[in-house]
Amino acid sequence: MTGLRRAALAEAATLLALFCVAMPLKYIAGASWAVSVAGSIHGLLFMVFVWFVVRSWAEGLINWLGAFRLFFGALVPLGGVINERWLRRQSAEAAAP
Amino acid sequence: MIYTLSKAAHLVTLFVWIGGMVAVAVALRYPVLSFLKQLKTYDRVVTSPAMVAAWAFGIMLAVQGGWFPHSWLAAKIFLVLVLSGLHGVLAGRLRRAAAGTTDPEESGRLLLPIGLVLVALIVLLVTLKPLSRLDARCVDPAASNAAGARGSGTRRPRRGASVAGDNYFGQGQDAYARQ
Repeated sequence: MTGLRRAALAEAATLLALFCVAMPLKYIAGASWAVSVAGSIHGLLFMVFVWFVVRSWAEGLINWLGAFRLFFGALVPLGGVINERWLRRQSAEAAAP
Repeated sequence: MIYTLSKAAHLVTLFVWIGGMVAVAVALRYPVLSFLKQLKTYDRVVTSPAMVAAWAFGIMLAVQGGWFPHSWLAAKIFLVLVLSGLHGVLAGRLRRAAAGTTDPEESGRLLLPIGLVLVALIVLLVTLKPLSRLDARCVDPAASNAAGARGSGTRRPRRGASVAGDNYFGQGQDAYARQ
């Protein structure tokens, strides 16, 4: 679950960087390369995150519903942070006797 | 030169990734707990990073060669995503098996042949580029004629790569080799 949580956080951070840093740079400062760079990095990390979701589902750590929740949560800004907190709660519940 | 190096790195990481997937699929078919534990570490340290690196180098190749508008690449990306999902399923089952909680019925006999068929389809797409003619037909003739005088069509790859038959892993030279 640790890898999935880290991937969720990384995905959320790069999505925020894309919206809050790269897009203003493009539309205010005219630096279109910023979106290309941030978009590529975010795209790669989004794929890594989805891969972790599939692996965790196959491992039995999350069910179908959880996998859908994580996927759609990752599509909105700050959704990744909410996902990470949900995963942390799931881990704590699984570890509890 | 950068294009050629990216291509070499893409191929190397691809071989490592597919090799790791085959090893996991075979190991799940004939499970030995001590080997599964070692393979789990190998998958985490080598195979999975190789998959991510293969994605990254593939994106670099597509950007440098200007291949993104081509239909064959869209089809290839779809198949690569399915292959990545398959690796995710294999890795998840491996981790469960290494923890000793796998149902013996869940050997996933079809996962290996499905993966190999996917790899074969991906290689066929890259080498034959079967949808390139379709892409060429999508070019607006007027726009193509206007742009043709300047040496570039609306859906042609950048940096001297042509629509059909050459570059990437197909015949002919690399986009950068001509420069």
